[in-house]
Amino acid sequence: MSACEVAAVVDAALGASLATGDPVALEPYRLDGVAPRALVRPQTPEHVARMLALAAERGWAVVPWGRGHGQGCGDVPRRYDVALSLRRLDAIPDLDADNLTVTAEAGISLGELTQRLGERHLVLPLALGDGERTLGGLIAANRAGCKRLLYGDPRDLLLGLRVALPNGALVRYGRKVIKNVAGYDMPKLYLGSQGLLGVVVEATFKVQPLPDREGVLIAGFSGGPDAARAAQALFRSALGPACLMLLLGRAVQSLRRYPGLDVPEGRAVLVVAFDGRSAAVQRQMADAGRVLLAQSATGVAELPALAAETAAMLEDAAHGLHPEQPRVVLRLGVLPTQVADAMAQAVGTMNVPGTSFGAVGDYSAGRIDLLLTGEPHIGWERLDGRIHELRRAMGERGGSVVLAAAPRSLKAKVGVWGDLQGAGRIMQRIKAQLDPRQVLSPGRFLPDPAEG
Amino acid sequence: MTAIDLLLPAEPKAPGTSHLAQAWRNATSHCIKCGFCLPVCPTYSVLGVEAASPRGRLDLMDAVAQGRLALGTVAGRVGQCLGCLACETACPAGIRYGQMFEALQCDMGTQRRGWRRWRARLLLDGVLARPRVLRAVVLALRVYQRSGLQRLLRSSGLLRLLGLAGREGRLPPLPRPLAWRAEVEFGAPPGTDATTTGGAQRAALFTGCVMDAAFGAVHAATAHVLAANGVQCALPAGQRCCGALHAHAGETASARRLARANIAAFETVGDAPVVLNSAGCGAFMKRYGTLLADDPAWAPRAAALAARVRDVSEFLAVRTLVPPTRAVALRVAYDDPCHLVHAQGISREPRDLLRAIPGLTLVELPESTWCCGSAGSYSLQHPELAGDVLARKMRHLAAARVDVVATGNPGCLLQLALGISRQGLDVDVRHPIELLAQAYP
Amino acid sequence: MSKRQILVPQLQRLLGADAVLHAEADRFVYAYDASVFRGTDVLAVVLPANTEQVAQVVRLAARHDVPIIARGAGTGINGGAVPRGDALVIEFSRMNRILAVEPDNRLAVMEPGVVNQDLKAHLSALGYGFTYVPDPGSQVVSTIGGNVGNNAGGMHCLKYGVTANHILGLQVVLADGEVVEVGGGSATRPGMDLTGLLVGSEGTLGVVTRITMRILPLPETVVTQLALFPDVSAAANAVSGIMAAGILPAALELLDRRMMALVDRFVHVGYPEHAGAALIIELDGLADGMDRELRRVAEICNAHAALEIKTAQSAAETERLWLSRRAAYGVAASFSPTVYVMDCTVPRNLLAQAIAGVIEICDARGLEVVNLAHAGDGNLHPLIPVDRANAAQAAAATEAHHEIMAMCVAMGGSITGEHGVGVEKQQELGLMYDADELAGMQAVKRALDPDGRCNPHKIFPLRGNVGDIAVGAASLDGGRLP
Ligand code: SF4
Ligand code: SF4
Repeated sequence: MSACEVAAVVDAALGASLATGDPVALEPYRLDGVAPRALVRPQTPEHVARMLALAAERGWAVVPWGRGHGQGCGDVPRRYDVALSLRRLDAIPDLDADNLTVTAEAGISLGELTQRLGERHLVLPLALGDGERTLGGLIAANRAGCKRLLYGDPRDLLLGLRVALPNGALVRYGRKVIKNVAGYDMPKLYLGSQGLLGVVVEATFKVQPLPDREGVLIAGFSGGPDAARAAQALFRSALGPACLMLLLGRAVQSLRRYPGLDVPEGRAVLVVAFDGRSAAVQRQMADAGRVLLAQSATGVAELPALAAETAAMLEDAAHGLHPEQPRVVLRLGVLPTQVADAMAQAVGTMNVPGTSFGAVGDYSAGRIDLLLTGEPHIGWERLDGRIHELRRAMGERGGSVVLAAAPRSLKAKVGVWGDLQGAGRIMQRIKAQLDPRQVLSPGRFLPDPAEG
Repeated sequence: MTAIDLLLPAEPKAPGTSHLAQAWRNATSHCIKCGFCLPVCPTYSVLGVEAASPRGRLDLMDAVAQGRLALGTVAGRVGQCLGCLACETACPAGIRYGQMFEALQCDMGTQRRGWRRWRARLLLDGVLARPRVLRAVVLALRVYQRSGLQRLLRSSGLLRLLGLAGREGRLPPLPRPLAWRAEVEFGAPPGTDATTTGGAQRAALFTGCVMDAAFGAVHAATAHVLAANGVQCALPAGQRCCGALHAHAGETASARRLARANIAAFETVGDAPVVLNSAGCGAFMKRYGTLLADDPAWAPRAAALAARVRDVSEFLAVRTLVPPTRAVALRVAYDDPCHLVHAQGISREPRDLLRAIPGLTLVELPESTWCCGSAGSYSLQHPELAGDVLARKMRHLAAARVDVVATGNPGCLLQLALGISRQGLDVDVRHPIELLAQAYP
Repeated sequence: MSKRQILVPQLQRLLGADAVLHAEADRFVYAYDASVFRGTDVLAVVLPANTEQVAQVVRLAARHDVPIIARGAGTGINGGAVPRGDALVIEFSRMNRILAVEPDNRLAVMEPGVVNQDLKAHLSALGYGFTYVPDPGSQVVSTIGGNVGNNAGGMHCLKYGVTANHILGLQVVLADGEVVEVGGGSATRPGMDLTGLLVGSEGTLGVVTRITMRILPLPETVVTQLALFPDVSAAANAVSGIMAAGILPAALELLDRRMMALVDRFVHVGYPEHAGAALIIELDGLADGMDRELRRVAEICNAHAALEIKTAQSAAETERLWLSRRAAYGVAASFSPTVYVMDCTVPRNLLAQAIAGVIEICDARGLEVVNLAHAGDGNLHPLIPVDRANAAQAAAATEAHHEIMAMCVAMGGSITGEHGVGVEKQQELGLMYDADELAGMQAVKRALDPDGRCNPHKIFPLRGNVGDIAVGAASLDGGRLP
């Protein structure tokens, strides 16, 4: 069936003109070089559900799309027939300021959502930086915000979901209440599911009133270990920082380039942020400043707030880089106390002539984004050995290494996800039950038992 | 799916005439299974088994009361209960565990037959209820422990014959009996017009069985403290063992006989408060009213006596203590007797007495409200379990690094002394009133 | 030979004779939990000492196709631990070791049998200044494993979240005996939040054998206040007002007039008779700016016609306030043969309306009701005293329960905020979720426990006849369940 025929079948089944097979329109939806046969842009949740039912019937593979920001994080698709763009689903059906909840459709950009909430003096404290990302993408990738220490992770704020299941059913799990233990906590299952178990069309989150005051400290250190020690001192204290971010390499340089930022000396930087009551923030800033200096900071700069640009980089080291630009992003997960060592080890292992690195570590989340840019003399695909080595080293301490972005050649050799062990097997079993026909993103995340 | 017999038959009734069925019917509320009593129950802590928890035992006893289980089925698990009543203190629903437990023991007592019953009665009626015999036995036991006789008998098989094999080794070292009466002067018996307000205050001392035979020093100390506080203390003749052990063993008739004797004895001193220094006796005598409730002739008299019963710490707490003057420079841990803290709700008063002593440092013992494992004859019947419970107590005691552990019940005094000698700790065991007496020159 | 006769010797070989309970009296008491339900006789109860023993038991059970029930302290009030049909009970009283406490990573690792309160005492004794926050009413006795199974809530969920928010990773024995680790100390992990899925699954997806949890630094200051209001709706509106002002209290607990009267008889707080509702408000955090925040709270309460606002002046006063809240359930229980404790949530701003609805529903049936609520969470706990011997009253309470749940669902809320579904609310789950939604959950169940051996016949409406409450409804009046 040709691209145009697929589009026609979809339009007929959905009873609206939502699909296209135009190669130009399909181009931005390539994944690792593979183009879909049709792009479908549903206008309602029901369209999404019907699309999935149709795909199940026809045996098509569907990949849901937001704005494509996290799309690089996935194995080379095994099959790819329909790119399902959710961008038209961008309404906010319910913003309940009294109840402190918001229900928004999956395709809404976080920037738009933030603005609409801001008008009511509210904030969804996830993904504070990159406004281009969509809500659906945030759920699929389970992205933590840079102020997770204060506000929590998506799992702490997500209350409910509306999902189109792979069999075409449109279901709703959870409610706009902050406590609910009726049946399984299905929304949690969709966090980090990479769009594999259904297409999230709408989500309900807990929101917060905007804080009275923010405050940011930027401290310079001669190296990563010093910065990590300072982060640890603050992490252990009852001072309550909202954000503890370590920066190394090009990440420090990028930070220095932002206008109005007076970044102290040193090869490593620690960004500490506070949100809250004015008097408390004042005290937190003063106390934390002292702790930082006592932990051998070269200097500490104060800022009134975290600019969106800065936050965006803290949340994703690759922020601002074009997808086409050759790069590799490794995402390491370790314990907080392992952050400094893991960072050093990752930088050491991946130190390849021809590339330069930048690293951003969320201390409390134990997350390290290592960004390599340039063109290694040996070619990207020859980094496989180093990645295996890093995975082995991290695996030994219970950590993980995900290839969040990489050229196809490298992905094909080492795989994006690493060994997920027993947990991976459980995910696979759930995938097999919820999507037995492998409609959604086959091959992109979990090995497909039927086809693999 | 199989049809299963589930979910709550409307609360079943407990017909029948057993003590347990009656107790079940008399109970104002029934266990809601919240489990709040689990963490305070020593046997549950040691065994980790629901049937050895208060909630489990109540469920088993309810089932027996309702004819769903046979008495023999539950006897083992319920029999492991220390009767410490920590569960009652913890219960938010006010479940009277003790009443069900006692009723069950009565039923078990009536079921006990032949040789075992005879042996129980020999101990209870032949010894405990007869002060002179008891004193003789205590004396004999001391001689026995001190002389080589212990070793001799152990090898002779005689103990096995008496059902004491493996048990007598668990007897604590006994203190020297004291001819305490000779050392104490008692005031004239208070007249019938006696009041406790204004002028000289009056009280009557209950001497009990074991206390009287083995802990005369405590009585002497009690009398001394009372005198130092201007209280005239009478010692009515004709008083007997309080009967608690008889009741716990299901020998209700004996218990009631003893109760009547005590009531009559203390009626001779008018309405003076009846002061005791044995928590177990106090807890039981405060319930004489219930014990004789169905005896029209005695019920009001029993209730009247019960209302006069005061633990010595309780008696002193409502008075302004004459400040003791002599320093007693000791680190002292207070361990709550179950029958004081759980059965009578008295925990602050004895501590206050100790705090009043100049130079004395009171140390809070973790889990001080936990049973030490003595629980009457319990340690004889369940040596391993009692040993585990006692060992836990000793761990806390060792960590507290004190000179003295104070507790106000004969069983506990003996049990703690046993634990201390087993662990080789260097700690004295004293009744709080003894320490206070020391502080009054 | 009966299944018991076959299994017991094998279990004894695996675990040792003292770790297998099979005598009648020992089995008998595993038929209940803290709910009003009583289940069937169990095959046996095992007391494993470690994960490997649990796995062996589960494998043996799998070979003989025997269901397993993992049990904590049996304090659940939805019947989740009540056996339905032949089953092996796994009792965790011997798996109660705290394996690691790492303040530098803000985590602790332990076995499921650790009692919530014991963990807190342990953390406090270590002196790191860290604690584990979730504090269900049963914390003195309930185990962490049970808290995880039911995603227990508590008084401090408003600011700190429920159990799920504090559980980082789990070791689980799956129905086939495979031992799997999900989640872990690092918050960064690829793939679905399986830990979040397993927490609150009431033992129906596997047997948790080890728990990695978050511990947090103790707050610098804690201030506890009591605010009295003329009625529930004034108090509830004050709650919304406080939250809307950007203040996130650690706790916001509501007691209605009848509850105050009952409680005051036991824990003397001095709730005055003219007050219609009380709020216990707790603020915590840094000392700086606390005064201003307290003033702000007072202003908001006053704007909602508060009669009186008192701040606890001593630890003893604070403790008395909290005791008055924690004792509520037991106090209510001591006034009637049974108390039917309900649990449901509504959007916070609808709390007053919901409580009014509860009272109306109960009044219409001649039932008494007292109300408690975790007001900040919109979590109601109506308590209905019931005499189960009075069949008509028990039936009325069952009906009222169903109607209250339906009301909350209609208000956009949930049939359970923190107690779970168990056997009590299997039919009510159908009020919230339709057949497609339940099928999605059941797909998850099939994925992890294809033969339905983990705590069977729980959570899901029986007979698949969703929404038909007449079929197999658990009831207070002696209804038999299919
Ligand atoms: S009396 Fe003591 S040993 Fe017996 S059940 Fe109660 S707490 Fe446990
Ligand atoms: S605390 Fe009281 S009501 Fe609760 S289980 Fe124990 S005895 Fe029963």
